[in-house]
Amino acid sequence: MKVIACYSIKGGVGKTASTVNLSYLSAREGFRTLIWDLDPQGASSFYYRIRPTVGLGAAGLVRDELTLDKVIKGTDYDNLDLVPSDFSYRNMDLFLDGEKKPKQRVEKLLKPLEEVYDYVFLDCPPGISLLSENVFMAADVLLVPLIPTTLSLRTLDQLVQFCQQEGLNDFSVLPFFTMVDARKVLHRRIVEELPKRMPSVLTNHIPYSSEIEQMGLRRAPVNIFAGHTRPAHCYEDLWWEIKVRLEWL
Amino acid sequence: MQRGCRFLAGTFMSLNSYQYIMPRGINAEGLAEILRGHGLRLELQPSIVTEREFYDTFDWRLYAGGFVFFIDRSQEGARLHLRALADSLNVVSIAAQEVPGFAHELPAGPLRNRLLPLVESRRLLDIASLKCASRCFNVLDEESKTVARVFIERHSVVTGEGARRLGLGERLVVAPVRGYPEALQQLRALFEHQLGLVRLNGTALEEALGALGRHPLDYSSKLRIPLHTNIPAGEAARRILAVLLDTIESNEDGVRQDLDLEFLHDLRVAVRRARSLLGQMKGGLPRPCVHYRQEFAWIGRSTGAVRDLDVQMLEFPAHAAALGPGGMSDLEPLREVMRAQRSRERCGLLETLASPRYRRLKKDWRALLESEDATVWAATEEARQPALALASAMIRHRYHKVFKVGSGLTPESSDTDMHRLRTQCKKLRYLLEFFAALFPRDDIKHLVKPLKGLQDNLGGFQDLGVLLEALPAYAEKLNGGERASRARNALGPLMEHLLQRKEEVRAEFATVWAKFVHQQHQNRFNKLFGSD
Repeated sequence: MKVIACYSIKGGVGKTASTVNLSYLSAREGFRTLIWDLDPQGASSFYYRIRPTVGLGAAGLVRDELTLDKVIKGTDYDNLDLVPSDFSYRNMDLFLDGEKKPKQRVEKLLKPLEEVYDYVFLDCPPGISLLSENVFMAADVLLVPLIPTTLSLRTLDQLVQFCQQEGLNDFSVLPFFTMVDARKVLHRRIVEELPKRMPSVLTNHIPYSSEIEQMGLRRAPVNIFAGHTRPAHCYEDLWWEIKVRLEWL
Repeated sequence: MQRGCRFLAGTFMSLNSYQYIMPRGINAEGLAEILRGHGLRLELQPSIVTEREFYDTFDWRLYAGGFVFFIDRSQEGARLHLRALADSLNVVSIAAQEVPGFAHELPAGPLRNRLLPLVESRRLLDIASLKCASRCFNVLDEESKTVARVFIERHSVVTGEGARRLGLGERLVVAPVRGYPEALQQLRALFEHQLGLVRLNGTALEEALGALGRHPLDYSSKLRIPLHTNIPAGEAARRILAVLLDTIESNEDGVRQDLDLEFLHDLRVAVRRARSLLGQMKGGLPRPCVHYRQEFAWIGRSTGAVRDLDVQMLEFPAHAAALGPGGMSDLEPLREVMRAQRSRERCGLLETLASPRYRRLKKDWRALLESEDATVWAATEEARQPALALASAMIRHRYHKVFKVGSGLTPESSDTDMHRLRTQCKKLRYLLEFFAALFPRDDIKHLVKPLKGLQDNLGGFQDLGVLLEALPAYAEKLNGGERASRARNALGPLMEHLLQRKEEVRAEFATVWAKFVHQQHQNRFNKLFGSD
């Protein structure tokens, strides 16, 4: 089982769209795939038409009163399951803080699923928090979506610095550009320049597109309703590149 | 990944589908009407007609592991599916035009990853061809999310050479979606209690196999011989030997067609088992058995060379890889020599199987095994005694023999001495398998485990020895040229690697032997079979 966290300190950069589309592509190839929607906004759950969990929620999971297999839902697609978020996830840090080894809870909860799934995608809320540190402990790779703007780059630098300070080097960090608007000079320049100083940046990027915006209306991955469009192909190329980079082929 | 992984073994997250006989007089639209009438939101999928071919290995490795594997051909193209037996959901599905002969021929990816550990080197054989007309209704919740699926399926199976189609009953399948048990409960309550539909226990594949006169798991290379405790020894031997003859005959076709290596292996094991029982029971058996024991030895000799080469070629890539990245390509000419040698040896093997002597052996042996004269297999005092007593005595005797031979071995013992122990171990193992039904299953399992460990070690040692002895002869057959020269140069390092490996295996012997003679196992042995 490989754990792929879609993570960014900054919000609104395309974490959920990327999680939804990449996880779908993984499942379409036949890999047993799970998404864990860790964002209290529950957007991944919404895209997959899965209602938020009710009941013990985040507190139950953190306090060992609930295991993940009890809350896993099958999506409409073969090989693709999802742990839905709910609003209680907004208090995740509070719950985590009251536990022993509070940075290893996510990893511990995923452990029993080791033989069940090939890939687990974590859709993370923005910010750096105790939950983020859990994600860092559990993940094999951090996929970091970046809008090619100065602020986005700044948060990427903050993330890299944080990882260095905390000695977090057990995972790969793979940034990639999203919402790229080729008409904008700044976008073009950043997309060209950043990989020169940071070779880990993935070469495939996701363009700004109305098809991806329509995911909210269609409530499905872009490859389902617009499989022949450029954004769908870009996600296919991106998924391929991730697997090549991580030698997962 | 181990065979029958947790995901599908039913312990963790398996999802059972429910199958019913489709009631007469109701069609898809009628059923949709009924479901809607009970407040269910439906999304009707178009009808699909597929030609579905099921594949498994000769010894049902997929079915035994909880899977079915098939190719669906429809207007939309062809797809390979690996599916859990109990579920109606795919485990893996990929687009492909053809079914590969072997799992290793599949492209790298999840299907290959799943299939390869299950079927290993066995060929995938066509077990049934079905035509399937199906209609799917997605049952939706308020979010238009599918929470269960209902399928109406009509199958027909292709029978015989003339490709005649035999219609099977129409079935209704309820497939749950993980995390939505309420939807499943609602559908089950509706179908079972309100509509009174009859549950079907078997899958469409099982029904199709029944129509073809077969059933799943109708062949296994593991011996499972039902014997009751009061059975006389002669009768028990007759039954065991009859099962072994069946095994020999059912593997012949696969050997002739060279479908995969396991057919010959299973045939040889059955022959060796038969020979071993004939040798160990001696006086308890009808007099002509002496002759048949010699005849089985003849089959063993006639088939040994091909099997040796099979084992050598199977393990060759791993040995060559130990020489580094270029090892395999350098040694390829040597493998070509082995392949050519195998072709020649196979001619001899095929001649044996086609010979009047072999045909006569099977016919006469079968006649003796099926003799209606009750005295034939009960001619001696030994044959009339309870099998339990004789089996216990034989196992006890053989165990002491293994103990004696094994205890006499030192690190300086010759390969021949090691081989002697291996032969004794095989004889003991066969006895434990023949008469397993007469003893508590768990005890036998616990005794076989360390014995198997010992046999694996001795087998590995022997295989390395045979290869080391054979390699110089293969090298002599290499042609001239640069490739052959590279192969000759690589031969030295290969032999060195094999010698080193042989030493390692030899060094591991002490550990497996210590496990075998562990006091706990000795006590168990004495308790089960008595001590002298």
